[in-house]
Amino acid sequence: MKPFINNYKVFCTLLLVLTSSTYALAEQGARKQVDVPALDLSIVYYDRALTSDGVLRESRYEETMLRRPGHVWVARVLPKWAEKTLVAHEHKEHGDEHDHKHFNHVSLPRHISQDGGQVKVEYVDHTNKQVINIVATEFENVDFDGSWINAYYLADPLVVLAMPLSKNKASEGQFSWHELERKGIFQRVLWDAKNLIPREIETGRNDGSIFRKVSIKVNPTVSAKLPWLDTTGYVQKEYSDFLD
Amino acid sequence: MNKQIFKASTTAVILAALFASNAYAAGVAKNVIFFLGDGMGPTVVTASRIYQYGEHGSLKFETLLERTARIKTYSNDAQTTDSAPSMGAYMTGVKANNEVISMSINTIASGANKPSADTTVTPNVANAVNNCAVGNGSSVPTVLELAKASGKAVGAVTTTELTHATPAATYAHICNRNAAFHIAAQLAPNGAGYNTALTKDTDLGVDVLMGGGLNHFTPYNATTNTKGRVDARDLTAEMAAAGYTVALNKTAMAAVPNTTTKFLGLYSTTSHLEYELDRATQTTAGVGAGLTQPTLAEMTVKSIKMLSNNPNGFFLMVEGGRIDHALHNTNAKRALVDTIAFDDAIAAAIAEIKLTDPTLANTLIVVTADHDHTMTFNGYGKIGNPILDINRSYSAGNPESTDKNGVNYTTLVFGNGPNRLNVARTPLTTATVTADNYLQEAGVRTAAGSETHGGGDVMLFATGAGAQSFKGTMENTQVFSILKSALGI
Repeated sequence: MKPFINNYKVFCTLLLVLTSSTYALAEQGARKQVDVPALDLSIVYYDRALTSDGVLRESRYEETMLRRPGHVWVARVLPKWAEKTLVAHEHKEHGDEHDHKHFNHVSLPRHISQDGGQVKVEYVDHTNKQVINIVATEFENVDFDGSWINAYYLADPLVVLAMPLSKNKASEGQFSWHELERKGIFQRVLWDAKNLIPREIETGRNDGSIFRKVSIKVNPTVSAKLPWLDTTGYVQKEYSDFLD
Repeated sequence: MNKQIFKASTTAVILAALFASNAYAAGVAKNVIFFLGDGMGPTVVTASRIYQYGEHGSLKFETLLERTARIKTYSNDAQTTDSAPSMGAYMTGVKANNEVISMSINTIASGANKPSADTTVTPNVANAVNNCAVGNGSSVPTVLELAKASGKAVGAVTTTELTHATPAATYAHICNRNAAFHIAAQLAPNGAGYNTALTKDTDLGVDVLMGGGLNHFTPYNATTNTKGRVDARDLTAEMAAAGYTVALNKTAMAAVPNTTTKFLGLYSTTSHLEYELDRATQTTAGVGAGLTQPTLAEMTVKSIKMLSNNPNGFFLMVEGGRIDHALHNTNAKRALVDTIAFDDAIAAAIAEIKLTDPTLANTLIVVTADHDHTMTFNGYGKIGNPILDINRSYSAGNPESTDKNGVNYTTLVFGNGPNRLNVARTPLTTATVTADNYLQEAGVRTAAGSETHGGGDVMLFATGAGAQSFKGTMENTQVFSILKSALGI
């Protein structure tokens, strides 16, 4: 089956107001339809912190993401040994041993979808053949801010395009660097206008104490498989089912 | 000294003490209302008090209930209990294994006894197959059943699913708390699986029931009720046929005459009732069902009115069940707001009772928790610093309290939970940490919603008829004995 490509319509605000304290933006004005390409992405999240007592701490993890019209699928890239451990752990949790109910939203793939303006979030647990639905009041418990725009674009295009072009990093072709700095905190975004997705997001403090970078790689092909459809017969659960 | 004589005399002393204690209170309480704040450990009580009334203030139940005791909560097989055996201990006097609902000490909840999904339908339904083996333990009578047998009216009210562990421990017996469909069936008079211990002569069933989780009472449907009963039974219809008035929202509940003597209220389609923070702030239809759900205080007062129709008195259990859930999420704000709602329900109940029993001469009120959580209280915050906020010191200038790297922190944190940063703690703002959805930081990282219960003791408060028997440090099982004695059952 040919995947959905270039047929998704999204409405974008044209006029923006940037607030100085939080970089938050308020939407105003008319909206315009634009085409958004389907994408397969690899995303690396890197964090670095230098503490006041001279300790450097770093972390790095990777996720894969599928963007399709109305759907976002995100899966953490786990080491092979951890996948085996996870399966064994899940079997123990749900199998023979005395258990405590367990739901690890970090290691399970998440499916975010939008239907009629409603955002739906669910996690798919293939080991136990169950789908865990997250109601809106529980979004924060799984680190989801409830924003379809943020889930779909990784950064709100309106916010990014309202940021000034960087004076330090060159923009070229479909790529443009945008940069903001306030009170010693910087935010830089490399925006890919063709794919409507950021390719780099850098945030941190000028003193070097904190640095975060998100690197987004666009895969050359778009997979035909839609993994959220691969849950036929799975038990339907809710987040609250995992609370004692 | 002769060893045998010593043992005999020791036993005699113990028995005399027990008889003295029980004789003091025996049969003095026509009515008992047992309030259970799920997970409402000592720090939750303190933090809720400061949140709503300040350091110098008091929760309503702290002033209304003058007797206090300290309760040991461990279960038969765990230092840290879950809600099933802890509530079971209060209701039956037996410390069972974790996850067991009001069964004997030898009942096993784990392994092959756990309920499994029913795969005969698509999508499958979790926990629809009860796998408790025949001979895996035996039922132990509950206070609610004993009260029913003595001719009193009985009720169970909760903000969780009606089949959740705490309410279930009052009226059901099963080896594993997760077998919710079979727990529900125990409520339906005349139907398969009905708990006959809920029958008094021709009077069948728990008289007043309120909570959430309609799906456990209604037939499965592949599109409209995917978490429903695979056995196709409609327990709401069965219970209506047995004389129950059934209400599915607060308007219907309010419209039911107070003369009603059999009532089933199920106020959520699936899962629990809304957190009080969400219920109270919802103004339009949409996310959540808060607009259609009664408060815990409204449910409690309505229950008292209906149960009071029985001239022999009543036993009512009221659970503030979502305190525990917010704590599992390390979301202190929702836990504190639900605790305040629980407190309001207690005050409303006492006010209602005092209309007919002004000195509580005939009514025993007990408030306690089933277990603690891992929330703790950090720093040397100044008087008046908002309890959910960043900790600000009492010292000159009230500087923000900081960790060894100079990063500020909140007063409330958890021993374990999902909010533990990968690299380093970063500065917090008041706006962030006082937001509704903020999850407090934790010392040990766990999965979302998996903050554990705490193994520490909890507090018990009591007032009214027989309340004087609660004192000192007690096993949770002793509470059963006092309730039973006070009711004279």
